[in-house]
Amino acid sequence: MAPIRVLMAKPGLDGHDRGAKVVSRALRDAGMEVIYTGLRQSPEQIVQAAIQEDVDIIGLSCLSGAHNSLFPKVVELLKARGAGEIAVFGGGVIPEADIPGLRAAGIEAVFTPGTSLEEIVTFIRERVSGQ
Amino acid sequence: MTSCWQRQLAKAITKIENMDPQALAEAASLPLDNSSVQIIGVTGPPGGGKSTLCSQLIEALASKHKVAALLVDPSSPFSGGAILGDRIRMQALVSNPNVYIRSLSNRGNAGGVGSSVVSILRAVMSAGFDYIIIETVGAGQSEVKIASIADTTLVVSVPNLGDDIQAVKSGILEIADILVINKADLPGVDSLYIALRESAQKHVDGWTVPLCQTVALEGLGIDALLVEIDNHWQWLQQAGRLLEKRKLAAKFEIMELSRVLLQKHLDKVPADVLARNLNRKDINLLQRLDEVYSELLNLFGEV
Amino acid sequence: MQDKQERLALWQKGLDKAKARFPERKDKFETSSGIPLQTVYTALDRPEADDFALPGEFPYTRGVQRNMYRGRLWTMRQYAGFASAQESNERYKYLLSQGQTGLSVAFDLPTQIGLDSDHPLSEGEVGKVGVAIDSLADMEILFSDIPLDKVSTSMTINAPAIVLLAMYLAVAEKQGVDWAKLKGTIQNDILKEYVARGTYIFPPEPSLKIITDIFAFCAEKVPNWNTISISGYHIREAGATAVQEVAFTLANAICYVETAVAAGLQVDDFAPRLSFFFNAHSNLFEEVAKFRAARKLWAEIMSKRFGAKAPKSLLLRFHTQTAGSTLTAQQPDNNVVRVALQALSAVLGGTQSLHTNSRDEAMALPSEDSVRIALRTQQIIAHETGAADVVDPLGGSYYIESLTAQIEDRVKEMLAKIDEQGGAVAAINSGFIQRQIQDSAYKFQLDVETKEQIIVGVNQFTVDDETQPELLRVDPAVGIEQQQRLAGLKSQRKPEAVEQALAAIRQGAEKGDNLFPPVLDAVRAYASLGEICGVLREVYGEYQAKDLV
Repeated sequence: MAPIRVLMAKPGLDGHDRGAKVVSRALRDAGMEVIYTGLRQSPEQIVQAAIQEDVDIIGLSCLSGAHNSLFPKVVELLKARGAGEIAVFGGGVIPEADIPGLRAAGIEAVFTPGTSLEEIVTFIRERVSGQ
Repeated sequence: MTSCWQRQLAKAITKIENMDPQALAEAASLPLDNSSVQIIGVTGPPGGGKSTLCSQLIEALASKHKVAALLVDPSSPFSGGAILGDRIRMQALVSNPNVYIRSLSNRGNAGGVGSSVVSILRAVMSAGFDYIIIETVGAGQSEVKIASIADTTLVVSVPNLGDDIQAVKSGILEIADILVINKADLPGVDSLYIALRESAQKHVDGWTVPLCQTVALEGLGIDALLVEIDNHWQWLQQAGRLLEKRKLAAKFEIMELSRVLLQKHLDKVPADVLARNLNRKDINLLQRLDEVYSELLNLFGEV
Repeated sequence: MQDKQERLALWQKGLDKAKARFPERKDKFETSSGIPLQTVYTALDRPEADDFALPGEFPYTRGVQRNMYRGRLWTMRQYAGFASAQESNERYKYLLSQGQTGLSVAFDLPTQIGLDSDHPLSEGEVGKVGVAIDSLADMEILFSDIPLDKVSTSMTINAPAIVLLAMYLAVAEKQGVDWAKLKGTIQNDILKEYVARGTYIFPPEPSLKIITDIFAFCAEKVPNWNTISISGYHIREAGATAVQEVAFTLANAICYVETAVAAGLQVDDFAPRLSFFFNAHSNLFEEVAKFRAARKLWAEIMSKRFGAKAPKSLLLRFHTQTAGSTLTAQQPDNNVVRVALQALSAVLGGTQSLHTNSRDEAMALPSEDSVRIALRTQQIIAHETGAADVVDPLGGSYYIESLTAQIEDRVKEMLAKIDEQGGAVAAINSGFIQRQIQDSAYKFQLDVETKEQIIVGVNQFTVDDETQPELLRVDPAVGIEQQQRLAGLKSQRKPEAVEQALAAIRQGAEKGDNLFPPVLDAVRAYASLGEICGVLREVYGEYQAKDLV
């Protein structure tokens, strides 16, 4: 079976990458191929990397509160570059009240602190295999 | 828009990597003898700064040329998954329209690259690049496959990894067309230089393996290394050597494809047949295995 | 001794019988650092060390002063700052009016990375995790009506610390306050940024050079300023264990001292101004032991390794913050309890200052209500529990003394490993430290997944219907206003003066001179943070992450 390919990215200037790295390892241990792009990525860089890597899904992590401007931008750019079928999910310090807006902007799932790794793995598997 | 053709190429690579029969057949119909593309392999031990060196080479080459980079990382032996992290050092190049970067898992294959790499090369080559850089896993000493694939193989060493002597012994130096000492600002560079010089003076059919020193992090020595890469290219162009190299790559591809197809074949053996033989109660496996062997022969035919 | 061992052996037999009937909750009990725990500790477990150690005496295991909180309580210092300088200034004045005794400035990410608010990468980040400072003009507003000779100010700023400290000094000049009267701290700890926090700009070498410039300048001109706060806090937040937190922090500290000494500074001239910053995590006793062990280790490192003579050079003085990563978004009021216990460990461990986290920080910046509860938590510990009335109240506990010794041993082992690799910078460049931290982070998360580690309200004792608290929201208009203010400033200042000052910085950086004087001049001429750091970026280059997962 073809492994699921995931791009994990930290948009913006936030340097807290514990979550992104822990999730990356969990996805690897669930048999996925994870491309980790490191800190301080602009939405343009993330989208271009996702296209070059032909990933099935992008995970965005942000703990600085900049999610409302950065996450939707990634979705918009994907669409603009003809890669709208790449799914996007997010995580980080994100207030409950922001989640409906992010969902409406095309972020298909938002995982806040306390989410189990299993929940994230299951979401990705179901989302990608259900295409 | 660069994203369009990049997206097509990216999707083709995924299919080849996943051994999709149609994609493999399509790749197999693409030529490998394009002599305007130089394939550069970069190998060496972990911690040698290969990614940083590759990123410097890509950046320098991309000012005038189209460059593709294939970065191979190991897969987890437990899950088959992988974390492909080489890109981190190259993200600054991602917006450069002359550059295409693709991370690959070795998918459990020894030797530093995956089995579909040459088929992928055909696809990348047909997308019109001037240079294709392949960075191997970097797991240590056994990564000699790259020499069968690349036109120009760089073996990167660094001082103080304690493996100067190991490297000399292991034979990985033998595959080098160019030897590189990266992190050449570290103490210990002199003893490494002495250790490598002997290998460097090897002459093969008129090519003397040069020994370059770089500090990739600061971009030092990159220009001189590029000159050597070009010298090697010029040398290859003479007397049909390049096509010899590419034939080697094609042979490697045939062997790898055969192996994969064989494995697929093996996977098709009904699980119960294998299980029955593994769990036979009627014979003592420690005493004799000939009955099992003959059953296997029946299954696969005389080899 | 013989008697005691026999009694213990006999007791152990009884214990085994009891365990056979009533099995224990877990197969093995251990601390966060994997130190195995006995059922009980006795006099036999006491390390052979000094049985009559006293606080304020070498090796300072029991505290850096003789009377500790009986004289003066720790400084209650809540990290705060958001949105504009104006709004943060109002929050500071509120906190001071509520009995807080020191300021702690949080800067937004563009400021921490040396970018102006109008830089493309600043989009969405301006004023989010702290206050946006583009120039001296913003700094003047941030501290308006706050007399700088009356407060002590801690600034969480690292890569561009030299610029923000210069701005602070310039504000003091304008207020007519003598630099010698300034009290406070800049974090200025770049090495942990590479491994844990991520707000680096330049590569390690020039970064260390700038840090040494600050040491030298302040030793002469700002004598009461803590020029660095060597931080284990973020290393712990990134997933390290207690032992790793202390080990990597001390490894970084050793590197700073070595660099300064190599640059020709006398160790006793700057060492008294080194301060530390640790995390107060959830394992109460391990944390207390950690603080005690860290003090002892540092005193020994300074005296033996660096030959420091001044008693003040040997003191590990530290700020503590409760562990942000232990806060949960689920049932957030539970966080008040977590914070209280963590804060208690810091007080029992002899901290010099303390920040208590607010209950809502797993979701957003803290609201004013939450910040007040957090501050009250400290005040309750200080005034109601009696924990501050005796120095090192857990000293002599069989368990605490044994844990202290074990943490010390394990830290020494790790320090030896780092020394072997050539020190902290080499261990960062090879990714060794990052890998250790990530391994611990992943192991912890797997323990949570398997419920080996219970997190109340998260993987047990959950409720279905969570009510959401009121959260603080930063007005998105802050970014635009801040950009307008910067544009206004740029049109008003004298361009030649700025050009000249920036050229002087470039020259100083190229020649390797102490950068503090030219940076101070540039700040006074209202050069922006982004302009100053931009020049330094051109000279020094930018750090490339050695990020391995």
